Amino acid sequence: MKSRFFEKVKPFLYLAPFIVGVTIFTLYPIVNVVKMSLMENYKYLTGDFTGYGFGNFKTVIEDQYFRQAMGNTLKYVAVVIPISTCLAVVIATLLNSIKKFQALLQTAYFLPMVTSVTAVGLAWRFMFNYKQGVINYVLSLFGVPAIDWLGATASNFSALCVYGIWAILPFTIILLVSGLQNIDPMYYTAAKVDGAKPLRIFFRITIPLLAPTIFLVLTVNCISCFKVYNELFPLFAGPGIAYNLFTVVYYIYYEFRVLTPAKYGLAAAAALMLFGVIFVVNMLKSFVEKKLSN
Amino acid sequence: MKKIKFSTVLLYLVLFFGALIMIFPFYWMITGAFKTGTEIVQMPPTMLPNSFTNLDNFKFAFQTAPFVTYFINSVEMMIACVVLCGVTTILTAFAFSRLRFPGRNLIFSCLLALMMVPFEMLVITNYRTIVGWHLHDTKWALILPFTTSIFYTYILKGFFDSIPESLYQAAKVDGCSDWKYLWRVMVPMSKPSLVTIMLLNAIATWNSFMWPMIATNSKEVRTLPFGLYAFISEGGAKNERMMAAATVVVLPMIIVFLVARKYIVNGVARGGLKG
Amino acid sequence: MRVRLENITKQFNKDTKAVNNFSAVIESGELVTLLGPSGCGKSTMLNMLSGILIPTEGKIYFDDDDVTEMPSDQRGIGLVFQNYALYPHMTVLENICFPLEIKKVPKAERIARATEMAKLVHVDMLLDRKPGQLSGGQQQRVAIARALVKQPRLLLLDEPLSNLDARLRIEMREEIRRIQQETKVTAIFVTHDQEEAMSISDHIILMKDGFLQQFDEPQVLYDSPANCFTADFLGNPPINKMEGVVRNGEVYVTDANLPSGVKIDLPEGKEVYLSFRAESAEYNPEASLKGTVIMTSVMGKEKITSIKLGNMEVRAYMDAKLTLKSGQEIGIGFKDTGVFVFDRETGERYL
Repeated sequence: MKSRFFEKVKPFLYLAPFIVGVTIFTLYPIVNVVKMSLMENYKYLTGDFTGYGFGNFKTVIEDQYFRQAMGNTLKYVAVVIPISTCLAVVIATLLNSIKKFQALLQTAYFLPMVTSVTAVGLAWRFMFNYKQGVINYVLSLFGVPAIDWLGATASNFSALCVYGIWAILPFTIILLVSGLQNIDPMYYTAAKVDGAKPLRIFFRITIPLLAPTIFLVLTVNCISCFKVYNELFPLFAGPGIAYNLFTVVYYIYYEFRVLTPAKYGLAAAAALMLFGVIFVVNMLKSFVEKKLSN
Repeated sequence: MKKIKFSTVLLYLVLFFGALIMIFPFYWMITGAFKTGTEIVQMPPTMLPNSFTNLDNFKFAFQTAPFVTYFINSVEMMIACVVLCGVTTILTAFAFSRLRFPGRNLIFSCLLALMMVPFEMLVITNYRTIVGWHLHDTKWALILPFTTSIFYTYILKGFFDSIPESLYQAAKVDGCSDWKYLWRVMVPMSKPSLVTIMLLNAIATWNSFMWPMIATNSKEVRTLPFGLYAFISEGGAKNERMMAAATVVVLPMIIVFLVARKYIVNGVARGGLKG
Repeated sequence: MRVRLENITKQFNKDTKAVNNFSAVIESGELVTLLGPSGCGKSTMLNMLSGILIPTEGKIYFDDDDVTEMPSDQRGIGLVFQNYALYPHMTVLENICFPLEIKKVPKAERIARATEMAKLVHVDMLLDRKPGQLSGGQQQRVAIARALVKQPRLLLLDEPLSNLDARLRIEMREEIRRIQQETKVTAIFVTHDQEEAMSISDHIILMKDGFLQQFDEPQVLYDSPANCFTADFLGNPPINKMEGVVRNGEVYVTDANLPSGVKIDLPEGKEVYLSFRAESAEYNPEASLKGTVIMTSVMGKEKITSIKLGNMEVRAYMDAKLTLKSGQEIGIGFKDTGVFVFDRETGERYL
């Protein structure tokens, strides 16, 4: 019977475009990245390679640029994640507690979500300008001497972090605000009836009930922070001064798109190692989350 | 009159000050775009440009770089990605949510695991796939890898799952086909969720930088963000001209955001928290 | 339309049969209730009638058509759900029109028929509203209209009143009865509420653990239960059930350690239940069965009296004129009807 057959096949007709897309642009690349990372002395043009092994991983790990890139990336995550999360929790709580101007203020805080990293990065570059920048001007009003934000190796990492935090806050705040709105107001009423002070309510009720959202935020932000790369172009037109702001994704891009001939094996190995680090960090996070919820 | 508490005043001060910082870069960018070369290097900086009718910077940007082409390319890429990805997402979410087939849950769990893989890891192979198909430096190269999304499928499936099964049965009893049920009932009911997904997708596509940078070379197919970057690095532009070009890139999305703010906030609230 | 069910069995996994060898005939134009506790198989049975499930064994006939494996949409049925299942993004009119739209009925006719149906169920003044703006009762009326608009051969109602509050439930069950009688559609109504079933149905099918227990008119089910389960399930207050044993052709109530005065022709020592309805007991100083009054509450011309009988408590209606004090010992006699004796193991009825 034709119709019976059709009923069986139908789900796969619905899925077909998706399966094709995912297979070509997600599944195959994953397999291929693993394969390429294991191929020794792979030459893209001829397709020759001398055998399988961990040579690429060894080269990458021993490469001082990669080490620097991994160091910078970890440092970036370690600075941006805690600061942005704390700021976002406080701002979201305050935003949630007000009645007047709530929509207006929310719009202001959420607006950078639409940020094109490149375009607004340029605005920040202008603001960070050594001589004509508005940031140094404001600092000078408080007697702080001008800082060469972008042109000195001592301070350009800070500039990157400031920009990173600003860019990541809106989506973090949105997620937290929606998490706060899902908390039943009766808990607050009960706490107020018991005479709890705002700070106590914040630490004893808001934070614990918001914990699932905070962990979600940590996951999402961690993944995006590990991929820091795009920001480097508008701010520094490259990886800082003399590669001092090399990041892992920049390293991957550099190995297969800047270098000629491209070193696919090294790029693949670096990509897998980045995934490995993200994976481990996520596992750690889930572990802590489970511990805390028990 | 009710007495206003000091703490409330402080609260609003803090919030307004923070909001100022959040939107200041946009303000500085847009006002900077109207300043003249001498005005912009003034110290102390002026908060407002002398005139908002000074369009020289925009003129310069549009003359030196084909921003109109970039803009059209960006719009094309955005529309193509949002529409194509929207369709595959709807079909896939429906299949996973309502249709029965062997291995349904297993396949879906595997997909969720794939969500953890960063796109940056796939870029190497995708670049070579595109080159292999001789699509490098074409508009197709910008669109094809983004015609499916596991993340958006996951969000939409969550929403589809929340539609009661009895609605499906009621429609089936009336002789409604799956196809018709999907488009007449499921899709209209999921409007808030769908709009959110499409908006997030539109924002992401509009701002995407890495892939267009890798997959394109020539000016004819560049999109705005990469075109903007090329404009600075090739032209060594001055700040006021940079601001004008950046404004062209950012303004459309600011408008989209202001129009659709409610949808984004509510939609993210619903979908985002299931994860 | 006449519905004939022949030896229906539905098995979901190896061990459990949700419906077991079920046979029944539902006559045209009747409203028949599928009644039973949750998990008894009534919803499974309904789903097989609607074509959502296919029986493992057995046949379903609509008149003379074998519809056992026919897809839902070709069966010509209307379905009403517990949660109404209205499309929230469509207006009332669009909801009622939707089944006709699928059948490609021309638009003008669609609207005419939907409006007529809306009048029948009294929602014709709400046609432009969305379901979210309606009360539960109104939503269920719309759902019924939507189910009936395509003139189904059979109307299936799956616990349609469960989501309504008590007062609306009574109103809506009278409405369903009225609509069913006006349209003369054959209807099958699923519920776990015995009172609802008793008040609405032409016949009741009582189910338990996948087996048909009894299929009869409501009054027959009440007056003459086929087994202990039927007797227990029907009636409010629930029937009084006492453990007993047969001694010298009389049921001896073990709990109270007293003879009941109910004569029965069964072997000596047979273990039974003696069940009686609250209205079947009477005050009788002569009776051998004695109990202690715990409390009484007056309900009009009768008062319901809780009586302690050994370790258990029974409830009986007594004449309101009697003065009964708590702690007082009274004799309990029985009327001719509403007193039953069942086998303690099989539940089979002896009297």
